[in-house]
Amino acid sequence: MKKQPARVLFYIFIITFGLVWLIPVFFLTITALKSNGDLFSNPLYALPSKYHFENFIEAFNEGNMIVYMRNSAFISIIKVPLGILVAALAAFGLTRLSFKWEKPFYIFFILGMTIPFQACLVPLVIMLTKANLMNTYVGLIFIYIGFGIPFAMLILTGFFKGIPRELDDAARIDGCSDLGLFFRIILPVAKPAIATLIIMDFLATWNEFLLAQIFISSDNLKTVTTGIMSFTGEYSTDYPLMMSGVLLSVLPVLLVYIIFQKHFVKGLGGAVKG
Amino acid sequence: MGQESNQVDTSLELNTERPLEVKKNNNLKLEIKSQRRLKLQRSLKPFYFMAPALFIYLMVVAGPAFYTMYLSFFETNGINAAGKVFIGLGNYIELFTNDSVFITSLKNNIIWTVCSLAFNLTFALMLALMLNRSFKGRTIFRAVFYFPFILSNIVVAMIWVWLYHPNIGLFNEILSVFAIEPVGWLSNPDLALFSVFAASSWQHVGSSMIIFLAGLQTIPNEPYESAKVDGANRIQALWYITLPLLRETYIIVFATTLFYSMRVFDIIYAMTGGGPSQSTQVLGSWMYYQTFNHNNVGIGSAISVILLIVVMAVAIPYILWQQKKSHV
Amino acid sequence: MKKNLLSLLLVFATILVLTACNSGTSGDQSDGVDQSSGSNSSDQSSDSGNDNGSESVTVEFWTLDDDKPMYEPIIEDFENENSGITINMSTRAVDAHKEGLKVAASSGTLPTVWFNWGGTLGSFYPENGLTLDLTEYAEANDWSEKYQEAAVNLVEYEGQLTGVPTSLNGLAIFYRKDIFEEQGIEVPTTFDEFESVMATLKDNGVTPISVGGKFGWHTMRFTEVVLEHFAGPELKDSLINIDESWDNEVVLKTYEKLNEWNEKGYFPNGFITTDPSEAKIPFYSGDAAMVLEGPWFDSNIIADEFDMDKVGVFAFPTEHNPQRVSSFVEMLQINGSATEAEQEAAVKFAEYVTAPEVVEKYQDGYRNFPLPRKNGLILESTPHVADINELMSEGNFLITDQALPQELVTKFFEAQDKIITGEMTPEEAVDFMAESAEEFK
Repeated sequence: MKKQPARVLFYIFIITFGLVWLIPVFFLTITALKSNGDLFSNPLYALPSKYHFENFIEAFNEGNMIVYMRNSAFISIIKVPLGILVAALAAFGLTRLSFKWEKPFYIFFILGMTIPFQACLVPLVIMLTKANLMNTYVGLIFIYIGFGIPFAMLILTGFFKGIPRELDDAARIDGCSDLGLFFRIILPVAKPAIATLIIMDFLATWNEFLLAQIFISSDNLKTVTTGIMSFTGEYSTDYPLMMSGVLLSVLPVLLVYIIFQKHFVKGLGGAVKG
Repeated sequence: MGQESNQVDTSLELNTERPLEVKKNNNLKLEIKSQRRLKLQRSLKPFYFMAPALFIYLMVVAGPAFYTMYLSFFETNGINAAGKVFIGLGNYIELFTNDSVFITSLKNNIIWTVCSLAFNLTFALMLALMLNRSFKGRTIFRAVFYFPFILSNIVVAMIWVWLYHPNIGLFNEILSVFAIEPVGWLSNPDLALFSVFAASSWQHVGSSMIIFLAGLQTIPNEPYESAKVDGANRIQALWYITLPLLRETYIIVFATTLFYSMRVFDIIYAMTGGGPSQSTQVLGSWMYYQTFNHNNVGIGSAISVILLIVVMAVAIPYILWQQKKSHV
Repeated sequence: MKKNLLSLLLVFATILVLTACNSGTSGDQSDGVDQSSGSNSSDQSSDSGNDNGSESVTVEFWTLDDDKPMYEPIIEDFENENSGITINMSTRAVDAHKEGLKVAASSGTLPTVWFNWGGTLGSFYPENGLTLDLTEYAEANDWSEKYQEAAVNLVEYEGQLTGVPTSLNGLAIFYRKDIFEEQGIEVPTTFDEFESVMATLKDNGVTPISVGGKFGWHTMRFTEVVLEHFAGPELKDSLINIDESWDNEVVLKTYEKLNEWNEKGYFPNGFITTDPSEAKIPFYSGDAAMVLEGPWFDSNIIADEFDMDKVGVFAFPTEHNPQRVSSFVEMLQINGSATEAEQEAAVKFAEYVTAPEVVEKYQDGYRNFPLPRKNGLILESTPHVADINELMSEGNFLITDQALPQELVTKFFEAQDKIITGEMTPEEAVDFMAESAEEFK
């Protein structure tokens, strides 16, 4: 009974806070529904004088959003699991096979996160050109996996190290090989970490545009963020269409988030015990 | 795909392992030799697992990074045919002695990183603790605070520039209701960096929060129960149980925050373009200008290298320290 | 024994990776084939083009996303009229285009023809011998008959014709006729008059000029015309060419004037970091009465649903003869190391883009109406384009951010910004510029 007012206060607090947090998103939404004339003749925070829902349709059709979204989905669906598999194998080798040089290699991998993309562009273009992979998804996915490795390693080594050694020993007594250990024990136990990673990696891949802009030049291969960027121009930008495009592009990511967030919320504790 | 490969792998294993074992038993002479080999194999084993990652990583990230390091000792515009002159540490000397914008950038990077580590981490942890409690609708609230991270940097920059707009922006409009003079959020050189930082925090706190939440899930219930028996209150439980047990999570959040904040670029580029008067320039953006606008590829490379060195100076001691603690 | 197992595994993993990747390629290839000729097939045809000579040529063409809707029908027409030539257009956003070109230049993968700006912005490519010098071609093809003198002058860089001009732009003051009328203001013809116009507007609660100071180049448009006023054409040109020290009284006067205007509130509050593309907002709403823009602004007015009749144009009164306006070109540069057949096709295309019959056919589709040709079409829907074209023919100078070396451009922006933010006095700014220019030399 005593708890009741505290609970109400908590709700009031978190709802207000949540609403304040969403102000910029509100901005985004009303801008997406304005016409250009409306946007520029009234204050930016004003509600649309007329709601232009057709902006979404226009972004979808004229802005070619459907093609771009399909492309990004294709890239993400290949890149995310493949990238996580590659990183997880490495993280497994690093943390669970009593590796002598664990620390130096760990640091070597992790430091990749500090390297700005721009610093690598020229060598990468030369490499992909030689391999005849410029303007292909194979080339782009290869590069994405490379840049994704440091972060995935960071997350996965952290979680793998937290998994008790007893599990390995038990599995080995049962005759599990290293690979069996990896696929049957470690990966399932690390499910929450992998769910987290899927969300983050999907997001990073979906939103990436610096590399995509350089390595993909054909219009029918472009990704969603490069597509959105094409609403910005040399002398003017079509803000309402761009914002509509942004809102459309956010939907799939939101969907991935909703699907996978359950998994890591379920908790690692249960997985370890089971 | 994971499932499929799993099955195939086990079948492979069955096919290869047995015949080999038989052979070994038959040949006792080779016992010692093969034992030595076994030892070698054991030390090589981690490399088999790391091979795909190492290969891709070396090709995509490490290799080009070493190339950048190499370029940083040259005066070059990036075109091979044009004169590429080896100048040793010349680019570095130029940056530190003769490039005031570089010094500003370095300073801004440090401010940005310290603020990120101090503010974003604390704030994200508070949010995570709050949203780790069980209450109705917490899934929705988690999504709400995570949402900004879904947007791309450029879009966040665009919205916040409008919120900060000196004349028709929301913030100054709210201030004017309270009869407060409009604030030059982005036009005041002393304030601009922090205004951009606020926008960036709004975007990134959610991602740290999610990692903290995942970390909080790993803490079992037992310590709390026994603490309750011992009569510890909530704050004590937080201080003595929750925070220490989140250690691995800190490393992750710390590292991601540190690395992101050192590499920060597009939100600044999009919000202020490094202005006013270069006051919000950071290493990432200054590298961009030097490389792509001034064609000083050598100087730009040197900036990348310095960026890497600064991060290593912070990150390596921290990672080693944390790992030591977790092994005890 | 484990070794064999693991190597097998590794092979398996590699196969896994490769098959995954291959499925990726086949997927995108089939997409490419479905939707257009596709990049892969065109690569092949360009390879075979070398052998077959004139039979078929593929021209790789990079330009801005902005221009895609404009070029698409033009390319179609061009390909129909010139069988055997395929134009393969790729477009990017503005910054990505700049980056893409630089990266391509460094890795030797430039396309056959690409969009670029003039002056020092685009000079990187001719300087490094990456573009085709069109001097001979221009002579052989009567460019002096076809193109305006200003356009040809502006694509020239250090004795080379570095590209085919596609747009010619001059900057002039766009003003709100209705506000001027309301407040009884005449269009100023002298510098003093211009200042008194601003004073009147300010007194009546209208911000005289709307500027977006982010990036620096929008503010620069004022700095450069004020400098033109104080220095006059000759001295200004030698300052820009760094033949003359920037430690000059006229520079000081310019910076003092900039400072004075800022302090008097002639620019919008906090303009120093607002986006140049948003400078039009207070202009439309009537909170500001003037902007300094180019011919594209008419297209903006139409797209933003503003009333064209409320807008007029005049040249910034520099009080010099000739009355010069700041101007620049955009052009298509041709790859110097492409095959002759490719170059020929590319130049043909680049000229075709602004050919009178093409411009007439697609007159409504331009975001910036092309002016480089002589006796070009004049549209009623965009009246100020013609006005600016006329102003340019009186006299023009190359816009400062394309005239100064790019490193000095950054310093120039920094100096003017620091005056506005109060971090530098005009005197300090003069010293700063003089020092930077000296060092660069």
